[in-house]
Formats: sequence, structure tokens, C-alpha cells
Amino acid sequence: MYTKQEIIDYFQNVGLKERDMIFNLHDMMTLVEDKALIARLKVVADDEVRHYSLVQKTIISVMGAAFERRMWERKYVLGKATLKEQDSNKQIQARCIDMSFGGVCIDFESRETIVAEKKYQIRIEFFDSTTPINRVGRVRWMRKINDELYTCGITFLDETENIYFMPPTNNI
Amino acid sequence: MFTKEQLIAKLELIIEEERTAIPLYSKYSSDQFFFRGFSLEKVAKMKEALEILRVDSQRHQEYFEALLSDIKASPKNVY
Repeated sequence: MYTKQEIIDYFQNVGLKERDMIFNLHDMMTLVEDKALIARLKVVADDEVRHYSLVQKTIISVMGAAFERRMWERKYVLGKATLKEQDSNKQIQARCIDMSFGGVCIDFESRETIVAEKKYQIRIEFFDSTTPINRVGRVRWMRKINDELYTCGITFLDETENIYFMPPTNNI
Repeated sequence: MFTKEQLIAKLELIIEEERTAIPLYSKYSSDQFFFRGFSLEKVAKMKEALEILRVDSQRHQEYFEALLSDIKASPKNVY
């Protein structure tokens, strides 16, 4: 007999596998110049985004409403995140996993250092949008996923004119 | 920009990723205890999702193997 949490952990591992594939393919697509090759890679990248969405929907279906106890609904929007410490020029590369009006969830490699409760300037370039967003946020929680990867939640602190802007969600 | 050698190495890694994903997706498919306690509807949803992932991963592996063959056979050296 497995617990509900074990099943959720399993599906989150499956989701992590899909995320890795999406980011690997997008990293490749940004470096490749051959348009025909980019088109061939995009076919699979789009499939992987659909898979990631399917896994998230399955987790929500298994967990029920308890999974969404938050002020704003989260949207599973993927992209590259760059965090900059407010008191230095140090930049940290990360992956945007989901976002709501109130904040963002990111994955980052364990060799990077992100400090809990610290304020960061955040830039996110979404895979499905040419419009990046720039926000200021504070790290609220952090969790180790495995030896190479951590995930953290950041609450937005700033109010911008784009407060109601959300990136496209056609991948979900 | 990728050289042919870099691209081949990257595609081989991606093929390996797809190959190793398949056992993860089918890990519990025949484990009668894994889905116990869930409604039939939820079990069907979970199994259906995992089956889609498994089948597509197999398809992607074959797709990338074909792409790798094309790259290897091509006279082009920069992508």
C-alpha cells in the first residue's frame, strides 16, 4: 500500500523528467541556427510541454482541491529565469516552473546560492512569449529535489502596471 | 551554433534521456498496490497519463534516432 504523498512524489518525479526534457530541447533550440533542425526539435519540445501539463493535471486530479490552497491560481508557464541580488551584480540562472499573480516557483541548480527571505530582481523569459517580465520578489521557501536541483517559491513584492499580465497558457 | 560533433553528442544524450524515461513511466503499471485507495476514475486517469508518456517517449526515442542518422549522414558540419 502506498500513501497519497508517495504517489504525488512519483508523479512529481515524472514531471521533473518532462521539465528536464523541455529545458534541454529549448537550450538546444537557442544555440542551433539551422531553421529546419529547430523545426524538428520543436515538434518534440511541444510534445514535452503537453506531457508536463498532463502530469500537472494528473497531480491536481489526485490531490484534489488541497493542492491549490493559495490566493492566486498558479499557471504552469515555463521559461528561463534570471535572479539578481539587489545589493550586488551577481546573477543566478534558474528555470521558471509556475507563476501566479502573487509569485513564481523556480528550479535552480545546487551549485547556485539562493538565500531564503532575500530580495531579488527577477527576469523571466517565457518559452511561449516574446515578452519577458521583470519583477522584484522575496524567497519564501526552498526545497531540495535531488542532489543537483532545488526548487523555491518567490513572492512578488512590487506592483507594476503589468500586474494583471500573465504569459500565454496555451501550453496547459 | 553547434558543430556536427557537438550536435551528435547532444542528441545521443537526449536519446538516452528518452530511453531511461520509459521504465519510470511504466514503473508501477502492474503494481496492484500502487493505485489502491483511489476511485476507478482517478486510477484510469493516472494510468492513461502514464501510458501516453510511455508511448510518446518510445516514439521520441525513434524520432531522435532518425534525426541522429540524418545528421551523421549529412555533409553539413555546422548547425
